[in-house]
Amino acid sequence: MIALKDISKIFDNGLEKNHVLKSLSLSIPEGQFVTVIGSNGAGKSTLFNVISGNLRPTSGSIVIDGKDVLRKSRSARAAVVACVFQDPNSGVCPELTIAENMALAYSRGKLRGLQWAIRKKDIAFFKERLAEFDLGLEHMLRKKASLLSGGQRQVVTLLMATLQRPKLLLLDEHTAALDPRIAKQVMGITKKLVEEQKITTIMISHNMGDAIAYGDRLIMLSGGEIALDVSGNEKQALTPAELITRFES
Amino acid sequence: MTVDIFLTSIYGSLGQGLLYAPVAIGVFMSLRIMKKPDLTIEGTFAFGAALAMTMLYGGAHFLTTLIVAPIGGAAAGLATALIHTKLKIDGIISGLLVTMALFSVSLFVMGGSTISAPLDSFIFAPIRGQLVAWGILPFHALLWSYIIVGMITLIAVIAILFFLYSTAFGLSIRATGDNEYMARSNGVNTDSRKISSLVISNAITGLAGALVAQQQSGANVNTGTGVLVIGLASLVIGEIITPKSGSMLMRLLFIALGSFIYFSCISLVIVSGVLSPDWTRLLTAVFALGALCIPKLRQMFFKKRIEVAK
Repeated sequence: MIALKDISKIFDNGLEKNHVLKSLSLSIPEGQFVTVIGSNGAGKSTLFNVISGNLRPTSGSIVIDGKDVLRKSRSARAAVVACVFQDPNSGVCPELTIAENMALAYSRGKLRGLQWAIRKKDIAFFKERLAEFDLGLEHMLRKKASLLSGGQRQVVTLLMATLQRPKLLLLDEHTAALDPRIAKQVMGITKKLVEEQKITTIMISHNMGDAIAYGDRLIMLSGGEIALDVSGNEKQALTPAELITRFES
Repeated sequence: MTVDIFLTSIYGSLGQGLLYAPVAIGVFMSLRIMKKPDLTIEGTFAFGAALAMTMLYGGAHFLTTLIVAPIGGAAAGLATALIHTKLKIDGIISGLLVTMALFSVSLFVMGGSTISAPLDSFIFAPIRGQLVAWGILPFHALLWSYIIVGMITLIAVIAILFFLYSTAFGLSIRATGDNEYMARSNGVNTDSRKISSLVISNAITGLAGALVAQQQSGANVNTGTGVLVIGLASLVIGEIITPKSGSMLMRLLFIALGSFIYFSCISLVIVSGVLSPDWTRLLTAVFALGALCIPKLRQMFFKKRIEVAK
């Protein structure tokens, strides 16, 4: 259960104030997959950065599983909140091997001491998980991540984000930089990973079709507030055209 | 140039290369792993040398200098790291400030601008004595003592780093240097990793300073000047010959080899009488520049060949 209460974020450069989030409240039950849409400047990215811990909200509270995480830094919050971003370069370390990247994600939330970074059984486990996607990634474990294509990087990043089941998974337009065919494949993998482990997920999307087709609930942000919040049958009945008219209103 | 002088200069370069290799490894840790140059190394090297020489002058055993000099280096690295991470000052400026400050600290430690200690208090003395007792010529025994001490130190440094980088902690250090944003997203406290890395690389450099001071039979306040470029030259020469798919252990070993090649080249040019020792610094700069350019030239050459093939 994720509860955002009265979240406000004001960017203040000393000359003018930009009120990006206006006492936004949102409650997401365990296991729900929420898609978020909104035009540029609606506050989607700010909302994500506030939840992930990259930004401190001006006011409000964030409670994940009964624990207030507001005072926790980005790295401390990473134990419960996993992220996949739009830029495929942001999710992996290019000079580390795929196995090393995965090992790094696998010890998220654990103490990183002087134990071996990768053990034999980890390799077997990583191989097994990568093989599920049928992309041949399981044969590339010892290769540097810089050799991966954008789509492959996003798949590996997604897997890394869910290797340890996070309390919340944030997807920030993670297919936007990919070509349509690969984007569709990555969305399919996303759905599979999220549904298998019933991970509470928030996904920002620019693609109206995706926002309707995937997830249990759809939220539209506008001017830092929730303009539309639909789920169930009402969401299924939405059409992209209808959403666009709502955008314009 | 007779064969004998040639061989002696190679022996000498081997000893020097081994003793200076930890500096190149320190440069590698900051420049290649953390992807940020660390200028503290110049100050740390001189500080390690000053600490060791002052202690030996005061009658301390050489083994204690091998503990105190790295601790001094680590403290200097910690200072740079804290200025960089906590006060959010640029890494280069932080290193510059600490090096500047260390100059005075080293002067204070030594109580003057130079200091030396009796030769038989040095770490090389007992080994040389043993070798002479085995019937090796005193001069050769001295060169061999440099090689033996350098070899043991280098093996220890490489073993520790290789172990460190294979652990979960070490992996998080490498990730911090490679993609800080990703490391933080995966729960790595990146500030603490930057601090650890700088502390370790400067501890290693402090140790090298202590050993080189004993090899040069004294320390002076300018001992550290230029070691950063010497380390850089050794590092890039080593990287040119490192196999492409080189593991971390390979990379560390080839840096040491690079250090040996660097000192051999310098000493060959000087010993053969082509240039006077005054030109050492210029040669160093040219070697470093050359080594930095070779990968680019190689790339251009290969590109041309592909074009011709078309």
